[in-house]
Order: sequence, then C-alpha cells, then structure tokens
Amino acid sequence: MKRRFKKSSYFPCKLEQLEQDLKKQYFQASPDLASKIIHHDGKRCIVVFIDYLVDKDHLYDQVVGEIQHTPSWDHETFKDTIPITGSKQHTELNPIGDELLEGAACVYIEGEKYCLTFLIPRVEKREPDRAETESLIFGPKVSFTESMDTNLNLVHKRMDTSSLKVEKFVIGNTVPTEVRMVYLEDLANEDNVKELRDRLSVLNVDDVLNASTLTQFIEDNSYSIFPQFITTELPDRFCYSLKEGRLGVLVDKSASGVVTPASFFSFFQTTEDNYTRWNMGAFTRLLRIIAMFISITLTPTYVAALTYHYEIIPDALLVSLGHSRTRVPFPPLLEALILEFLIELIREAGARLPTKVGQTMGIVGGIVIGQAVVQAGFTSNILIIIVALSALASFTTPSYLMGSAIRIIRFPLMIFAGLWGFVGLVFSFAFIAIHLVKQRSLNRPYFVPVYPFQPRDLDNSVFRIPFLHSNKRAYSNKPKKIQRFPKPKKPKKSDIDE
Amino acid sequence: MSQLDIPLDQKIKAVYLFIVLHTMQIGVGIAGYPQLVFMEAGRDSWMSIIVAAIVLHLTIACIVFILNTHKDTDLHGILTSWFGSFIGKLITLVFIVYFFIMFLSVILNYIEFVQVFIFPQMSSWFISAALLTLVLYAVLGGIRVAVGASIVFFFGSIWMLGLLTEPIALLDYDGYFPMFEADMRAILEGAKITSFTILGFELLWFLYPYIHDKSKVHRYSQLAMAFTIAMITVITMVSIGFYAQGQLESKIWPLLSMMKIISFPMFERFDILAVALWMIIILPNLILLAWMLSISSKRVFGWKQKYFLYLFVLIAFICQYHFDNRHYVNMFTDYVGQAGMYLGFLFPFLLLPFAIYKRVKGKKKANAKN
Repeated sequence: MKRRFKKSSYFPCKLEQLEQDLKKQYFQASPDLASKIIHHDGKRCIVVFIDYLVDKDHLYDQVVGEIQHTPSWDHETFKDTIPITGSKQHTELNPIGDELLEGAACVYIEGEKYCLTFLIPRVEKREPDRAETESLIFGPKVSFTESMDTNLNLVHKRMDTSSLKVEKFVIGNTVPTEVRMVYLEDLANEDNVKELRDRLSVLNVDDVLNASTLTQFIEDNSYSIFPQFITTELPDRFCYSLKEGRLGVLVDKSASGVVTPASFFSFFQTTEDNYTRWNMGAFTRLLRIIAMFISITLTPTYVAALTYHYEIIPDALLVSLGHSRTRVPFPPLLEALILEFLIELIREAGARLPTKVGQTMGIVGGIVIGQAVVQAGFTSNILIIIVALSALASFTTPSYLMGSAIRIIRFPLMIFAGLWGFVGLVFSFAFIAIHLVKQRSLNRPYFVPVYPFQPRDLDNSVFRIPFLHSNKRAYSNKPKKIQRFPKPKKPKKSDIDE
Repeated sequence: MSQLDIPLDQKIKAVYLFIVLHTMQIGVGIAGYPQLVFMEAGRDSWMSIIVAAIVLHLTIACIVFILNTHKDTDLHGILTSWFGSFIGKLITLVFIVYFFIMFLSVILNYIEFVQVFIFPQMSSWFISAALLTLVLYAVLGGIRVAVGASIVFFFGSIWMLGLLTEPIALLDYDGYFPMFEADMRAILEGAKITSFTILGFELLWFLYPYIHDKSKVHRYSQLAMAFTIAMITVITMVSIGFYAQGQLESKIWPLLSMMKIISFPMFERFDILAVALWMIIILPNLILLAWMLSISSKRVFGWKQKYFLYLFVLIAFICQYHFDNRHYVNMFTDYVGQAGMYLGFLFPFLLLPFAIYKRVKGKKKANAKN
C-alpha cells in the first residue's frame, strides 16, 4: 500500500510481488484470481486474470499461445504479436484491478517499466430465440436477448441505413448499466429526441434493473395504471416503431426494448396486422379493440343489471337467468367478484407453476372448479360464461402490460356497478376517459387519434387500409417525413373490355 | 394586462370549437325542450326554431366580429381596454355568476333525471359529489384536458342520435298538419324557449384567446350552431310526429320517454342506460363551465386558478345540498334562461357599436401612419 503512494510508478517489480499485491488490494475475498508464469530465455512473464471473467479460448490461443511462440520478449513485440484489439499500458496498480474486473488479462515481463492488459471478456449469451410473451403467427418470431451486442445487431440488421443513430448512456450509481437510445435521424422528431435524451441523462438512480424498470423511471405519469411506453421483446416491432418515427431504448442485460412515444391504441397493434392482408389486419385490429371494450364492460354490466336494472333484461333471458341464479345466495356483486378472483387465481397459478403443471392446473381449475362452483350454487352459469369471455377477451391484447391493466380495471368497475348501477358504471367510464385524455407519453398526447382528433391517423391506429392508400406515417408522432412513398398514379379508367 | 399571452402548447385548434360549442349547448335542456316549445308554438315549432336560429347565427357573427377586433384576448380583456378595469371586472363577474348558476342548474337537473328514472332513493349529494369529482379531475388538467374530455364525451354520446331511427319509423305524419296554425306571438314565445335551450355559446367569449388558428373561429362556431339547430329540429320534429295528440304536452322529458321504446335483443329498455349516459352529455357542460369560472376569476382577482376551482366546486356542492328540490330547480333554470336572453343574445349587440368604432378608429390611425 505504502509503496504505491510513494513511488510515481509501481513498476518494475517482482512477478510474485505483483500477484501478491493484486490479490491483497483488490481481491481479498476472491479466490478466483488466477495466474500463470511462463519462462523463456531466462526471462519470466506472468499472465494474471480472473478465472470466470475471461474467455478461455482467447486466453490460451491468443495470449498465452502467442507469448510462448514469440522469440524475442519485450512488451512492444507483444503488442504486435498478440492479436487482441483492446490492449492498454499501465504504470499503476489501480487501473489494472479495474481492467481485470472487466475481463482483461494482465501481461507483465519481469523488469519492464509498465504492464500490458488485453481485454478478452467472456460474455454468456444465448442465441436469439422465439419470442415467448408476444407470439406472432405470421410475422418474424425472433426475440431480443439479454445481450446488448446481439440486440443492437438485430436492430441494425433490420435497418441497414446510415440514418440509424445510437446514443449511449450509462445509468446507475451502484451498478452502472449501459442504455442505448436508438432512432432514425431523418424521421424522429427532434423534440422527442431531446426530451428522451434529457430524461435519460437526468436520471439519477442506483440501479436500472431492466428495460421495464427503466420505463417506470422515465415515464410521464407513474401513478397511472396504463403503461405509457411500449415494452416489446420483438425486434420486429421495435424496428417497425422506429420506422414510424418513434424512439427506441435498449437496456443492457434486458431482453426487451422500449418504444416511445406510444398512444393508447398502439398497444392494441401488432406488426402482424401489416403482414396479413389489409382486410384481415383491419378485422383483427378492430377485434382487439372491441375485445378490450367487452372485457371491461361485460361483467360490470351483468352486475349492474342484476342488482338494479332487471327491466333491461329481455323476458326470455330473464327466465333462464333467474333460474340459474335461484340457488345463488350472494348479491351479484359478490358473486362476480368471487368468480373474477377465481379466474385471476387460475391465471396467476398457471403463470407461476412450471409449464407442464401449469397447463394441468389450468384445466383442473377451469373445468373442475368452474363446474363445481355452479353446482354448489356459488354462481350462475351465465356469469361463468361472462367472466370466461371477458378473461379471454383481455388476453387478446398484444401488450402484456396493457392486458393486465385491463384485467385489473375491471375490479373497481364491478364495485362501482354493484354499488350504483349504470350511474356508477358511466361514472367510472367517464373517469377513465378523462384519465386517458390527461395522460401523455413523452409529452405527446396519449389518446390520439381520438383526442387530439386526427382522422388522418385512423388508418394507422384503429383501422388498417391497403398500403397504396395509406402512404403516410402517423401524424401524431410528428415524424420529420410524413410521406412514406409517393402515392401511385391512378390507372386511367377504361371501359370493361378494352 | 388585456392581452393574454398563452403558450402555443396550451392552444387548441379551431376545429374543436365545433364540438366544444355544440356540447356546451346540448345538455339537460334538450330532454325537456320538445314539450316546452310544443306548448307554445304547437306543430309550428319548426318556425320558432328557424327564428331562434337566425338570431343565434347573427349573435355568433357579432361575437366573433367583436373578438376579432382584438386579437388574443377574452371578454374581460376587451371590456378592460374599452371601459377601464372596473367595468371590465364588473361585467366579467356578472358572467361568472351567470355561468355559476348555469353550472348549478345543470347539476340539479341531472340529479332530478337520475332520481326520477333510475334511483328514486339515491341521495343527491352523492350524485353531485360524483359529478364534481369528475369535473375537478378534468379541469385540473387545464384547457386541453377540458376540451379533450368534451370531445371524447361527444363521440361517446352522439351515437345515441342514431337510435332515433326507431321512433322515426313509427312517425305519424298527420301530426305535422295543418301547418301555420300558430300566430306570430306564439312563434316568438317558442323562439324564446328555443333560445334558452341553445345557450352556452357565450363560452366563446372566454375560449377565444385559446384558439390557435383564429381565422377559422367564425366558420367553426357557425357550423357548431348549425349542427345544434339541426339536432334540436330533428328531435323536436320526431317528438311531435311520434307522440299522439295531447301526449307531448304531458311528457316532461319527451326525448327520454321516447327512448323507452328502443330495445335491442340483449337490452330491452334503453332509457335506463340513456339516463345514466346523460352524464357524459352534461359533463362537457360542467367541465367547460368550471374551467371558465376558474380562469375568469383568476383574471378578475388574480389568485391561482387552482384555488378558484376548488372554491367553486365546494360552493357548488354546498349550494346543491341547499337547493335540492323541484321548486329551486325550476327557479334556477328560469333565471339562467332570463339572464341568458340578455347576456347571451342582447349583450353582444350592445358591444357591437364600440367594436365598429374601434375598427374605424384603428383604420384611420393606420391610414394616418401611411
């Protein structure tokens, strides 16, 4: 210790001394500091590294191997012969320790005035795999991995253009994490870029755990139940959004990308809508929005109607409804809450259990409990249908976060419907509507294209029309270039047989 | 002082005026309007509507003319620059009181709706608390959220107009004949009743500085008026044709009673839902009025807009509690109507000479400079 502060340079020193000092000062607790001493021509050379942080292949082939085969031993020659790009010289002990932690091997010939380090980190990464949470039937299925290199590679491969800009941020005080902001320079709106850049650079937290945690740090309204940034694990969707003029964020060690600004309706889109023909795309897109609406309204309407507004139920239905409810001792609100709770239980259990058990559990829970609950007179048959339908509908939402939000919103809605009937229901809908209007995503309106009313954007958000007619990017993102391609000229109208 | 400097991101597009002014006009009144006008003008109610429509369009033209004289300021700013700060504040205060009573009467009317149609036992303070919560939540978001909520609620309720096809299919065309029965006095009385219903456009006085593209203000305000007039014409004509002789007079809310016959395979009585949904028809009224009340009070007294908003919501809640019976509801509604005749329709024409004078003077000045 003392020696280091007295002398301006630590080197030259004995090999054993170097190893000892490194061990003492940096890796007291670590038994993994490994070293190898090589002899040649009476000279001695040491290679120090941390066992599990360096790539062993590189170490033996390109560092140790090259050293053994080099006839003349000095550091200058080593720098030439060892074919590793990230080599550095150090005269102090301090930075060597840091380098070793990043996965470097330290090379030192006894008696030299400085020490060499070569960066050969071992990175454990998996190959890009099929997407798990956002599955596509028709589109590309590859998903992001936990490695930043791979993710950037996936994005770059999809958008081979010089306009793709990647900005680097390092966020986190205890565990610094690399965060990249990705956007297409000739499309992305400059205000958006500036805003996101500001939010990322101002961010002062101890640790960014994951991409979705990062979103929660930088989103506009942390209290809202609705996600404001899209978190996706599909490079396909990520790139599609960039091409629409949005911005993307990639976080190291996180297998999902973040897309912003997002609108409420963009959570109900998939890239698949574009890959299928327009009629199918439009159909599925509308289907999802209707499903969301059904999922929110169905159970609360049942509760409201059966508690207060019997008169709205048609006679024929009322008979069968009354018949199936005769044995149920609870008020409709409690009945619905029990059953919704049950469905959530089955869902959560299915998600937590190992896959195979989970499936069995789902079947057991769904069929056996469902059947038994009706026979035991806990709920009516019709409620089972309604609850199952709305659960099913909520799973059509492509974004997991949005789907969960929709499922959770149902509970307060049910309670309001149970307490004050349709008045309570309309009240809660009005509240949600105001909330959505109030919401912003990266300072851009969230409920676009309803408000601000953008009829021109409907083809990009709620509907889908043939590409020949929708040659514009969404106005709401305010991209630099609105037009994707010039509108093709209409063919001259001719007579039928000409 | 008189010019308002509003940041661009708080401004709204003129197109929204179409919806905002329209939703301001349509509220609780529309449900009872056909009966009232029928009582006065009978089958010739359409003539009353035409008379009211002409006056309305002229009034809007007049208001926009005055507002265009001064760019970027509201009524308060105009009055202050013309007559000095005292008169400016006084008249703005009159408008604030007027709008506040309107605010109150909307709440009271809706409470009555709910109590008559759905929950006779539901306590009124609860309904008003629910409404005021929503109003508070929306207005706290500022003008953009106030306008945005109005637009969402407009889309959320306008489809109900399509349900009128069912009564339209049952129309009895004999109900419209013979025409030209009513005398001039009856028609004018009917026009007066109509003018009560279409009040709310006065908000333009205060909304104007927040409009981004001022050149389109006139177009969209007139379109909004035309749309409102078209809507009440359709509703009135359908009501007259739908109800048998002598029935319309006895219905307090002909529009809601008409919805009783609307039914879907899974939904037998639509009127129950319609009454609940009426909440989103009146919410734009309440939200925009509360916004106007708070912002104008800020202009007059200079405290924070937030505090005024809380204050007005609180006063409204207390007042609602005190005036919760049919007698007061009618009284308030009448007050608003009477005051609206003067503040809404007469007042702009009183200001018109001054605006013309200012313009002529401004032109002379410009000429002198050249």
